[in-house]
Amino acid sequence: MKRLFLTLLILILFANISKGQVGFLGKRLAIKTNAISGLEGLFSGFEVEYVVKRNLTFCVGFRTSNYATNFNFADFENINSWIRNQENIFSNPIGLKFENISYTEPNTNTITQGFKNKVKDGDMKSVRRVYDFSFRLYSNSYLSAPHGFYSQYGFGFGSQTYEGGIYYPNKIEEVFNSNFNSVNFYEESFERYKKKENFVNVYFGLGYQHVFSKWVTLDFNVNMGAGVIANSKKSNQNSYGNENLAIILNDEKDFSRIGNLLGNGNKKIDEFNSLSNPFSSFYLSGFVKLGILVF
Amino acid sequence: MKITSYITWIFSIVFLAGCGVNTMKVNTMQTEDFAENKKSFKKIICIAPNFKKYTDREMDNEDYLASWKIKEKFARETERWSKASGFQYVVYFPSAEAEDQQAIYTKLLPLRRSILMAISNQANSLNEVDNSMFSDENKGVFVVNTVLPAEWSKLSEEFETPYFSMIEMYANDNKSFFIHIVADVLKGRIEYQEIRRYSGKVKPSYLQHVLYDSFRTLKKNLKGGKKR
Repeated sequence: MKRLFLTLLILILFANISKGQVGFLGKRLAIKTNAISGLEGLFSGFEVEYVVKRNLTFCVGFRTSNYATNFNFADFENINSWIRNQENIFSNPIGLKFENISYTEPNTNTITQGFKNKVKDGDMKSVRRVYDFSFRLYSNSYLSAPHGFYSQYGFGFGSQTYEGGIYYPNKIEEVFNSNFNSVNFYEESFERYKKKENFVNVYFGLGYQHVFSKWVTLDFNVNMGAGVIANSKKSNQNSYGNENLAIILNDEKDFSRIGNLLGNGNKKIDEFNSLSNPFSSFYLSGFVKLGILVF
Repeated sequence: MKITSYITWIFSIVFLAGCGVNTMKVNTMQTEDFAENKKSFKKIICIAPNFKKYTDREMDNEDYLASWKIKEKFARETERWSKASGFQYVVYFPSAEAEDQQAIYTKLLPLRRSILMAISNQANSLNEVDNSMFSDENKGVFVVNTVLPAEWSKLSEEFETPYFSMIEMYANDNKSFFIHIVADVLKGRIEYQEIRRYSGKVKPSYLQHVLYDSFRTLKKNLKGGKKR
């Protein structure tokens, strides 16, 4: 990382900044939106580009993403499905009466419905906010920036927040039916998980920007970068750690679905942790930006 | 450590690709009192903006027709962008529709030749002659404001301005030269000259950018920009 910064500093000093008139027919400020972003999705932010010299521009940008994903929660969805399958047991408790037990008939439908309004069942919500600062060196001859091929160098900082929740069965009573078999009763519990990470990253890349009709800009850009997590803050961690998972598994080991989870649970947790640190290594991202040349 | 080294190399190559392929060189020269004359620098007669393209092969009829169309476009764009920059350039172009312009153009052709001769021995990017006979001292004799023949001073009465301009562009597949000269026939000297060298092949759509840059540079110099 030190070498990268050192190389950047040295090469900036020797950069061939062209003289001459500045701006595309005098227009120097472009406001663009991220029409397509490799990391954030569609229309995920905006960027302002200002032409400083004939082939040098500075960019300031902001990107945000807000999407849900369920790739890491497949097995937890199974738990939730299983809980809903137990509704028949709850509503028709095999001829037993539960007058003495006030909470033996939990209305799981109500609980599930209530939580569904907040977080989609089994999904994780991920919000990323990135502030970008970069400069571009254009290699054009006849036309001034911001038109032409360019190389881009910059850094960014921001945060990524993961927020999600799972439903898990919480055993509240064990009774025996008429055949003296053990029947467990559960209420559905919900735990939220939230994690926020601040990161910084540096990147460089190549691209081409075309100006149509003196007003509209279309920008294609590919960046390669590296980043580090500055700090990480977690809340309600214990409810969604290995410990909690172990409790669930120990209680429900009779059920085959939970047995599957036992085999894959730790792996999924590891996947989750690795996915929550996407900037801890090198990355490649692409953008298509659409904008206008203001003045 | 190896990965960092690779990344550094890739980074360097990308950086050099971005800033090393440039670009455009501009060289302007003007008289000492050029910026002081900006109030009288209003009407300028432009002698037939010329665009000439050089190719390795022999030019045929289609090439000449294409060249003529580019010339017409060049003349229109010159008038357009001079007005947009606040100058009153009166462009005389040998158009087939206007016979009076044809006559004026014919009358101004010898002046054009005189101006070209005046700058032909200067040390500028048009004359990149690597010859020991053309030492810096010898070039220095011709560098600034070679005198124009005095007989052209009579044109100032006819056209009501002493300033005559010449805008030309010479292009081949690898590079282009653009020159913009303003001559004062009363003083018999070249007041201002701008020479640009572009790398790469020129397209007709680039002409407006070249002219915009040129007139903006002239405006900047008239405001008291850097003198040479």
